[in-house]
Amino acid sequence: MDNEKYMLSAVIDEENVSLIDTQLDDFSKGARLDDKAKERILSSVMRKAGMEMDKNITVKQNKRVSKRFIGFAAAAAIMVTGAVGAGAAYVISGRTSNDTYFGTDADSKLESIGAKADKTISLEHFDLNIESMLCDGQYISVTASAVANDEEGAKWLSSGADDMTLHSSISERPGTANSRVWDEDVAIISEDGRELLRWTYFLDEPKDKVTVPMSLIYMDDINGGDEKSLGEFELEFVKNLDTIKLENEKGECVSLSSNSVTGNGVTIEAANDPLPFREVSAEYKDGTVKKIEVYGCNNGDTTENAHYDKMGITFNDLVDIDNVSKLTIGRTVFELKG
Amino acid sequence: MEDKKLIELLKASPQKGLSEIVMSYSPYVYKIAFTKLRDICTKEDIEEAVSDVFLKFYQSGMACGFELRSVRGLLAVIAARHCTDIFRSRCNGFETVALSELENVLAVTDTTDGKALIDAVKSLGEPDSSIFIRKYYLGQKNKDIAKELKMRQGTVNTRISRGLDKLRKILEEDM
Repeated sequence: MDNEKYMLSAVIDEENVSLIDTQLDDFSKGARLDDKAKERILSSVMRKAGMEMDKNITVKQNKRVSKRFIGFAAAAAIMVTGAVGAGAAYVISGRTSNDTYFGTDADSKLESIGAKADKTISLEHFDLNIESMLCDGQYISVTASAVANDEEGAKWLSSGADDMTLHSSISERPGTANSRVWDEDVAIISEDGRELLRWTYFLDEPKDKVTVPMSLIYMDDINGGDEKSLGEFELEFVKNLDTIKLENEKGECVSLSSNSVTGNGVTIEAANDPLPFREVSAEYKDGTVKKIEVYGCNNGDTTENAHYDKMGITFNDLVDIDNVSKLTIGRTVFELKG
Repeated sequence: MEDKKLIELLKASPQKGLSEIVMSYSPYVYKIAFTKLRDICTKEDIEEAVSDVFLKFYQSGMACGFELRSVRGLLAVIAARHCTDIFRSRCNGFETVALSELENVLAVTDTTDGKALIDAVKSLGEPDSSIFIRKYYLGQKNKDIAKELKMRQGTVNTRISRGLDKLRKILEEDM
């Protein structure tokens, strides 16, 4: 007797599966998977499908990206196109967070704009070396590296401990659908086992100076995935980045600094990528055009006509804004005002 | 992103479309795989199975130019089949849990009766048709069905027993 004929799995196929769409939809509602597992699966699928990425060192992407970020799918797509992202493998040649997140000559560029920091905060088990602090009045960013200052910390780092990242309570919106907004964090393990950290945030209101409560946290995967603090401190961000205003053909403006672009009430249309914020390039006064590597992006509510009430994009580059004449996001061109 | 947009993205850029689909649907496919394989596979094996499901989905899609009706539906079919194959290869046999209960009730003589069986299960109404799909197609255990549908396990057991009686009568009337 063919047992299989008694099974629903024998009779449901590609043609008739739509008949149970409601039941599948209901089943899918309870589905949960942590971000690291998603990243592993994506990496495996891409490898098997022959969509190989560079594999020298594994990057850990912290799962706590802004919930108003365009979504983990977007983070994965950024990963696929080669920018910093979730769970993929990238060549990390830098020895510091600045090298890693801002590219070559990062230190000298940061120094020239007054954004290089050299400050150490001692926490239990770790010393946090603050390497840069950027603030353009709307956007703040910090890079740091964590090194062990005792045996416990050393054991932690050598075990490949997961999910140690920078965090701030100012991004939290408890009780809302998006429990964290407008912040992004990432952690990468360097070749010598340090944690290279970056945290960025778009302020609700522009401020030239802001003191931010910060913490170094990790996700306790063993005990239910709760966030646990490894130490708390404060950082004072003082505006140290200039901005320039650029305008699209509708007269809508964005504000560009060397590490981010922000806008309120702007129309940005997609080019090749359905998510326009991933395609950004700058045209300079000498006519050259250069792609800007996107680190992350956030957007507020969107209307049907690609109009965003609020948007912000952060870069893996330090852009020479003094020589920028145009900025293209998606296929919308913003030109230097006046 | 809804299925229609995912399919459009697959056609426009297969690589981006595939990554969006993996990130959107991996919890769902993982749940199907975990439900079917948790008693015989490690977490790593289940993740491996999930990635194989997406690869098969991609290959199926490429073969038809990504002219797909439903991403979710096709993923369910591929996942169910793939996990059943893994189960059989590890257990050297069939899933017999459903068989003992379905014997003489859900017998179909050939696959053209498949739609009749699906229609019969759906005619049980809710929550019974959901219980049957979860148990006999997705392989979910009674206690997990009870938990997700917010029922007592005894209630699920009773509904399955009564549902089998109803199905027998429906299928006998159709013959």
